Amino acid sequence: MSNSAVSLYLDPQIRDWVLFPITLVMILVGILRHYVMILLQTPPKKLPLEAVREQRALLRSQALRATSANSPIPPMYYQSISRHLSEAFEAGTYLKDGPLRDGDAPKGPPNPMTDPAAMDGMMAGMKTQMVMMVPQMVIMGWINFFFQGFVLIKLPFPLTLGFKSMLQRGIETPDMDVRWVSSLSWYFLNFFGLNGLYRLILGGDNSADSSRDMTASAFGGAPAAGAAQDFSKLFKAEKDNLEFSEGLYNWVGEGVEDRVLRRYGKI
Amino acid sequence: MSQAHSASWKISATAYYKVFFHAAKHPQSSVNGVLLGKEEPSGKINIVDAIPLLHHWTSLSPMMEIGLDLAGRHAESAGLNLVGYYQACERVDDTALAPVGERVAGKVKDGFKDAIAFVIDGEKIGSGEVALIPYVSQGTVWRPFSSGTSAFSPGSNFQLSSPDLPRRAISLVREQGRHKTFGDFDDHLEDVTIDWLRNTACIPSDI
Amino acid sequence: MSLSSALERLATFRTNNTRASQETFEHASVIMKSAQKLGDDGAVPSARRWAVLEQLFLASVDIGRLDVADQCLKQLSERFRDSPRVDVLTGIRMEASESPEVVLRYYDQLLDADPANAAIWKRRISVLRRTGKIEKAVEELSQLLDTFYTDVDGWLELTDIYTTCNQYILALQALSHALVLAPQNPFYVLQFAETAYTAGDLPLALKTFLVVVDMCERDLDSPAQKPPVGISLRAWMGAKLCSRRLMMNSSQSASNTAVPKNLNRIEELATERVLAAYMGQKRDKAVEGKDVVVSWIGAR
Repeated sequence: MSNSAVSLYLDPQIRDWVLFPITLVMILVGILRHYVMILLQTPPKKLPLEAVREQRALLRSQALRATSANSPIPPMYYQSISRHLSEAFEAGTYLKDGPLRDGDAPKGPPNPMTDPAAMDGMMAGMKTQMVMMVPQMVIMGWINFFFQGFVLIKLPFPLTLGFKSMLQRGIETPDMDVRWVSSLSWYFLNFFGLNGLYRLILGGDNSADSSRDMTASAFGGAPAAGAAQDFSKLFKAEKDNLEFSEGLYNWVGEGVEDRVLRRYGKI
Repeated sequence: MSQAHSASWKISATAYYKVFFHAAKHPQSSVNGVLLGKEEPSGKINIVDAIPLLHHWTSLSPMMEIGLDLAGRHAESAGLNLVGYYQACERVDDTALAPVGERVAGKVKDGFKDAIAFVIDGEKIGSGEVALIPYVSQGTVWRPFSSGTSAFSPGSNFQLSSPDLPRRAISLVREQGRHKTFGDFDDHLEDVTIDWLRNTACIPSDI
Repeated sequence: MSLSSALERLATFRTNNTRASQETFEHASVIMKSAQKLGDDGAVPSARRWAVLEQLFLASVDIGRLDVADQCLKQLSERFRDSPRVDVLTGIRMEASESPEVVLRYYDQLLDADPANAAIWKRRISVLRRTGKIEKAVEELSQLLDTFYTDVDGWLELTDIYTTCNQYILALQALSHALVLAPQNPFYVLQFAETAYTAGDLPLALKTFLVVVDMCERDLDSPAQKPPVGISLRAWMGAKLCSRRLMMNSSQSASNTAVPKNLNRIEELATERVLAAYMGQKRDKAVEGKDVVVSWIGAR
């Protein structure tokens, strides 16, 4: 092994014309991408009032239910709020499109392909994906075309054979020292390793790092997709929950005088 | 329009300072309190002291009732009467006597027939003029006092014990921060060592 | 005053929502002066700088230094274009000098563009209330709370409007929503108790005062040893007042709350507790107004 370590000499031209350019191009593309992302960013779409109301309607009963076993409000007030909510959920008062009328077929969850609001969210997601993918594909193609099979550097520390496939991608030699790094592998090392540098240059919340976007799918990240719920079903279910909590209800003022008197040893 | 009000009122330095300090300490909330005084045989009413009551919620009654009761007892023990009510609103342009003010002033009136109510004029309070608008009762309604001369001008039914009180009060607040140690009944309920009935610490000794 | 202490003080004001305008103004002016001297990011990190600038703006509007307010607003609107938060500040600045109609028109414009902008909506409601359009303000506030249910401040504002209009039952209803949203805050419970008393519902008031006591003294080992302080003294006084009035004549409860069976004992205990606050504590400092309280307690 020590023999093979000295058997290979790298032309300094490789360092100047391959190693540095690849690194530099990747850094610059990352920075460029950050600014393109800022340009592409659309402000979060403003929801109409009815939609906000629909989304937040469940919070009402959740707040009420959360306190029902030890409720701070006396029975009369609890019941009036609880009844009011039940009736509203039953009638669909909080639905975005107004209460359901007789004869209306209960609608399923809206199809994201036909709902323009969901479409917008998806488009935004795909736009960012394109900005992430295209430059990376171009760089990879460039490296594959010009520098395929190049050995760029030698790592200054020994490694086990397991790293061979990681560091010598594109060079199919069984007996070369693992410490040698091929051009394609150098690309991948940069791809995953430059995040720290970007953070240094662009600040913590940058969009230059592409490896992060690889984990997010084109649809999961967009919040509009999460909103495609069937609120009329949720409301019906919440109504049952409310009835259940009404059974659990207990006013904290119930018997409070005995609790206080007992604490002072008066009864 | 002139009214057949023969009574005249004279406000002492202590009373004026206390009302002023109370409003200055809580510029963002409504405050209220009562005025202590004595009727002289000539029909002149001397307002000698003020007791600050509330600044948290001035429109709720339990602490108001207790505070009023305690202030009345304190006045009695000092040989004085509850003769009036004062309030300041949280907004400078609001100088109307609030409904709760009418009720409290009405209660004061039950014990003293020439009761008076003052609303603090937020726009004048920093100007060196007298920042009090007097209200008098006509039956159960309270109206701004109106007569030929405006209140606190020479010859009017309302006088200060010394004309430079407003200016001195402002300098006491701005230069010495006297209002910071001032406490009312709400403060007293949080810390019973606060002397809300007398507030001796913040009244300058040379008056 | 050192820069770091001023920054720290302002940060506490921000977190506690304290509106000590004069003090804020002084501290923030110091910070802004040294920030100018040392260059933009020298002394004050930029994120904090904008927060301080906003504080300074609000404080200077409060104490009437509109010139300073205008400077702050200019810097903020240059940095954050189209920010809804700066829109709110612009509105606040307009409220200080423009007529209500102009301000309302400005808010209407913003609300047309984004009807779900709660901050602007709330400002609009406060202007309506201030100009005496109470009914309109109540209507809009109810609508706002129908959408943004979790806004505790909104519920408290509604409570306040109802209370000043002597609509105590409605005030209690509004306040009960605030209680549901913030069940751990004894001040709201105390306000509920005092509102119930004002509404004439003495049994409900008494029970709620006792709830406040219970909340405050729940974690004390031996409450009988210590005098009640702060909010629990207030609650004990309220309990004393209610139980005394209930013993004199039974009263109707609008909420059908039963009068406690042990009314006598509660009255005795409340008396004991109120007196304890005025008796044996802090010998170095005189407790004020003891005699009048004692005579009030003794009165029937």
